[in-house]
This record gives sequence, structure tokens and C-alpha cells, in this order.
Amino acid sequence: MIARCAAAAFAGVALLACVSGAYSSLTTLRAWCAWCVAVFAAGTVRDVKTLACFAAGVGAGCALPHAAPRPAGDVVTHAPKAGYSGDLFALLDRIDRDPAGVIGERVSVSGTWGAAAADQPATVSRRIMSCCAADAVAVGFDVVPKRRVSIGRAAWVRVTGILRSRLADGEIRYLLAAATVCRLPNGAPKARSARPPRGPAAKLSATPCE
Amino acid sequence: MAVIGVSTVVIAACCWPPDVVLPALAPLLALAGRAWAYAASIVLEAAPYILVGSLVATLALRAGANRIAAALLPMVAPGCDCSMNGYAPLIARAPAPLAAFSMIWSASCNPIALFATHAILGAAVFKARIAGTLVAGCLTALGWSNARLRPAPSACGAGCRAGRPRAPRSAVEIFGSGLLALVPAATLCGVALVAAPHVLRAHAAPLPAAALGALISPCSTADAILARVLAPLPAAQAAFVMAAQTLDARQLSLLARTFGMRRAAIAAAASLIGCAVAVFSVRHP
Repeated sequence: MIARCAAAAFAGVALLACVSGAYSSLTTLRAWCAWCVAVFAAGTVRDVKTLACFAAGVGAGCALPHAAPRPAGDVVTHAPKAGYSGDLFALLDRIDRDPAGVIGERVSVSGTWGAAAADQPATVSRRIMSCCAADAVAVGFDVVPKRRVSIGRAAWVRVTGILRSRLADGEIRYLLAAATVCRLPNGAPKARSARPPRGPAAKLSATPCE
Repeated sequence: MAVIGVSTVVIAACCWPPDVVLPALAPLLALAGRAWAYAASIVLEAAPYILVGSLVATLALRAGANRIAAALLPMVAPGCDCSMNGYAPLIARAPAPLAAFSMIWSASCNPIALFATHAILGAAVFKARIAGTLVAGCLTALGWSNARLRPAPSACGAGCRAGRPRAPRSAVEIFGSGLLALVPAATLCGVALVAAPHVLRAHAAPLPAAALGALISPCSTADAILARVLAPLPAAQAAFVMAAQTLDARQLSLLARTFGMRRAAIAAAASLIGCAVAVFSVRHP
């Protein structure tokens, strides 16, 4: 009975996630697959107890975000080497193959802007989600801008700067020094993992790219 | 109980007005919301794989599959380690040593995981993954065969007392049970990512890399990508992928629920040694 109740509660969460679009923003599953599993689980709702569990699941599903939450943790400056497309991944792959050949070059990458915090430098990154939102990681570079940047967090930007490396907490990190940052219009990236956010953050004013 | 609950809420509302409570609660609610989103994403992503495992396990149980074949089938084609939550009742029918080896091998060294490891992390980590899993699987099998251990009641029910496996369960029941085994691991991961988000960063040493792998417990099809990003050195990558599949909360919770706490503890100890072997084999090829 407990297993049936669990399946019914899951059905509530899953059906609501399918309807609201949370399923596709939190996971890498196709919509049809999500619907199939949700409908199968909904088949367990046959009595009052399972109906109550289903209702509780629907209630919990309401609390799911419609957009993917930002990845936990710091921006990682290593190449995933898993076929992701985009200038940022291409540069990370070049660094991975021959770091000495790239460091010191003036490079340009596009990605999501992360403003500097008290103990963190500014970053440009792209989100990779290999499985679900819990294991999503932001991959990119630290940025040291040439001048003060007034771009909101999560805006889609192009950063051009000189590639440098530094040692931080025993780890080699790559940064773009003396960088210029300009805001790109929404919809520039095509990759699913690199989808720019919609909403107020992306609308903040900044230097447009020429 | 309901009266006590309602009374408590009413008294609390009288003592602390909303304009005082809400500003203090808002950040906590935001954190709880993020933890819920992370935990739910794990369960939502795993559900189709658990469903496939449940359907295959039900079909095999109804067809009266051989006890040996029951353990071998998931080793050849589990799809993803998430499916193990569905396959577990099928594997539980096999002799204890074979069930032990199947649970470890299917999660850590299934064909898709090996393919991804070779393509993304290279031959050295690929070999280390196989070596570590072989050691962990064999040691677990040895431990399970020697120990006089009773499976968990949820795995076999009353049938165990008579020494017989429990009668086949429905796919829905196996599916629900698989979800229940996943929930503690998903909750732990969600809370940990919110409480200590900075653990999710690159780790060059094998030990923290293994701890990170065990904590976030990625799917076996995706762990190679994460290892590539979060563990820059091959030894750390080997530790990450091994721990992510054999020492993670998801696997240990499933083992404890299906086979009992003591068998899960033996598997955890054997997997620790397997991790060490994987790291050693990368460093000394």
C-alpha cells in the first residue's frame, strides 16, 4: 500500500510538472516520455487513500519552479568533452588539448553573466545538465573586466579578453583578463544547455555588442 | 492531533505577526524551494528508468525466470543505474553472492556507462572502473555468502521465513517501491546542494572527488561527463565514477531497502576498497 501511495503521489507531482513545463526544465527527458511515466503512475489512483496521495503530490508539484534553478556551486573551468556546441566549449576543448598554446591569446566567448561577489570574481559560463537539475554544472571562465560592468546576473553576454591561468585552492582556473563585456540579444544560443533566461534579469541595460 | 496542530498554528500566529515572521521566513522558504526542485528533479529524471526496470522485472518474475538469469539480465542491459530500483526485486531472487555481484556491476559497469567512460575519460579510467567494480563486486559477493544475514522484510515478506522468495509483485508495486528507495537519496542530495553549494566544484584529490560523487550520485550514463568537469585528474575521475555508483546514497538506500542494513554495510565497505583499487590502478597502470 505504501508503494502504491508513493506512486500516486509521484503521479500528482509528475502530471503537474508535465502541464507546467517543469518536467522539461528540470530534466533532460523528452515530453512524451515524461507524459508516459506520469500517466502510468496515475493509474495507481483507485481509492480514497491513493487519491489523497495524488492530491498531495499535485500540491507539492505546484511548488516546482517553471524554469531550471541556477546550478549549485562555483563555475568550473574544465571542458566537459561531451559534444556540447558553442564558442565557450570550443575554447575549453582547445585549452584541454594544449593549454600553453592558448594562454595569452585574446579570445572571445559567449555565455551567461555572473556578477562578481565578495569573494568571487565575475564569470561567464554555460550550464550543462547531463541528467537533471541537481547535477547541472556551470562551465566557463572567471572574468576580470577592463572597466566596471553594470550587467544583471544571468544576462546573455559576449566577453572578449586575454586568457590567463591562475592557481586557486590548489586548482588551475582560467580567466579572461582585461575583458570587455557586451550584452547579446536573447535567443542567440541554440543549445538546450545554453538557453538564456527570460525575464527582468536579461532586460537590464548594458553595452550592446557591435 | 489535528486540534493540537491547528491550536499551535493559531497561538504562533497570535505571538508573531506576519510582518515580523514573513521577512524572516522568506529566505528559508526560498532555500527549501530550491532543495525541493533539486530533489524532485532527481526523482522525475529517474522515474522512466525505474518504470522500465519494474516492467522488465515483473515480466521476468511472471514468466518464472531462472534465478541465475534474473541476476544476469540487469548486468547486460540495465539501461541506467536508476533502473536498478526496478530490477532489485528480480535480483533478490538470485543466490546471495550472485545478487551481490549483479547489484554492484549493473550499477557501476553497465555497457552504456563503460562506453561513456571510455569515450570521455579515456582508456586508463575505463580500465580502472572495471578493476574497481570487479573488486567491489567480488568482495561484496564474498561478504554476502559468508554472513548469515536475513534480507530486509520489505524484500521478501513472509515468504523468507520459509526460505522461499516472495511471490511476484505487480509492476506498480515495484515502481512505487523503487521510488521510495530513491527518495532519501534525492532528499539528501537536494538539501546538501542548498546547504553547501560550494562542494560542487572541481576537486583534484581522489578523496573529495569520491565524496562529491557519492553525494550528488549522478546517473551511470552521465557520471563520466561530470567527472570530466569536476575532477581534473584521472585518479580523481576514477574515484568519482566509482563512488558515484557504488557508495552513493541512492545505491546504499536501495541495498538497505532490498537486502537489509547489514548487507548494505558490507557492500559499502567492499565498494570503498573497490574505489581505492580504481585509484591505485590509474596511478600505477
